[in-house]
Amino acid sequence: MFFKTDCKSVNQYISAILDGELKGRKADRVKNHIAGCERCRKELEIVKLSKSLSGEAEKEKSPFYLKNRIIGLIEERERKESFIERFFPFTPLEISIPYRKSEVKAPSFLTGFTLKHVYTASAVAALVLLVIVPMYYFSDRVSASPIAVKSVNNHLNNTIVDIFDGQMPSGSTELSREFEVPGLSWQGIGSPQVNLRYLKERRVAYIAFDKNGHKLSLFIFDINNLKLPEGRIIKEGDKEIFIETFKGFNVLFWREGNMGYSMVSDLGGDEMIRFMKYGEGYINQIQKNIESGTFFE
Amino acid sequence: MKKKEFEETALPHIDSLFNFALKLTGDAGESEDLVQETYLRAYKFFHKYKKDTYIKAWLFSILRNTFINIYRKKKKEPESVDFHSVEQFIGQVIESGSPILQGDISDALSKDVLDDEVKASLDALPEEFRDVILLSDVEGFSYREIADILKCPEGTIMSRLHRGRKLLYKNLTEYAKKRGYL
Repeated sequence: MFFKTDCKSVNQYISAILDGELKGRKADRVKNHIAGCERCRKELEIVKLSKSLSGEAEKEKSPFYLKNRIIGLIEERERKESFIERFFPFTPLEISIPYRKSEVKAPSFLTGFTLKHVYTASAVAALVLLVIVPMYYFSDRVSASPIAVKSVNNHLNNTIVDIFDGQMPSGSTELSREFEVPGLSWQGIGSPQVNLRYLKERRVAYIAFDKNGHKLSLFIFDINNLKLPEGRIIKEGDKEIFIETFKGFNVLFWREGNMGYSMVSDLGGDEMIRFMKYGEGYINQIQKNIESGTFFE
Repeated sequence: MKKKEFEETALPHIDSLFNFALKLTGDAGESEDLVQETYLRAYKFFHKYKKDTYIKAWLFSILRNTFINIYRKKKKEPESVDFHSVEQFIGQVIESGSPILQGDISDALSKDVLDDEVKASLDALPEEFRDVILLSDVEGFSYREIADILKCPEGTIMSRLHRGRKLLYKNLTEYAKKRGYL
């Protein structure tokens, strides 16, 4: 036997009953009321429908590259931390130098500070300048990813050692070719030197371009499983480009399907990206030829 | 190892976090940054995460804090909702005696239209209601977990959720009527 007034006190618990969030005697009381009350039963139906509609609505997915980017940033952070910890078994921010509050007051313009404060501050500043700053500087040096380091070494030595697992190339073919590449010549880019080699079952290509005396190297690898390197990432069209700097060279790295591209140059990053855009059709052509095996015919 | 464990337990929730971030910021680029910052913070404090608690709830609460601290400097005033009219509407539907769900919206609308409309209606809800519905009905968190994420009492979560669901129902039904589906 329930009166209408019961609805008011019960109403607010209807969703909680639906969600199984109400327990014990209170739950029994509300359930009993709902069983005997048409109005509350219908309200339960309404919130049930609302709940299921929200639950079935399709969710937005995160972009495919976000996970890799986060893992990359975490790895970068880890490497820096482990480097610092090797030399400093405690975190710089937690450094504390114990001191006793001095009786001697500092000059009036330093009201509120004791001389000890000044000494402590100086000691910390010296520590930061002499030890921590250089350490961060060097930790950046060692944090260049193996792909960037190997790409730059290839660029400097005109070699094509596998940038992923360090395999040495074999069965190489090398030639220089003239290509008509719309959009490239007016940018002052000369005929590329192309070098195609084999790494076990895989093919790799090394194409060296010359732009007004600056060398630009492009390495194309066919890859199956590639872990993208860490570092700064920028978006260019639908591409995610990883950027790193090593020994003063910019390294751009991106992938398309099962092909990995690494571009190295002393040219500015924006110029390299422009090159990448204009050279895209050209690179695709070379790639097609590599895939069909007609590149050197 | 810390990193491996983090990758296996925390990263699988990236889509849910992104979806929630998108509702909070309304912008895909900002959502990427927000999710990234959330994971970096979570990784930094991973040692403080209590193993017996639900990691997804922990990540969501970091995401929401990050959003409030970084992306929204100024707290928005809650929008006022005329609940009298919501109750009146629900009352009319119920008293009309016709099958409630004559309103059966899901039969009236095609899956695609319904999907879009539910999403749009959710987005249009005042955020205090939208957030509880997202956390409860979309992500499946318990009242306790939602209370932790949003930092308010469980009782508040319960009543907001109930009101929010009714509000969503009203908006959807009105939409369907306006378009002649009902």
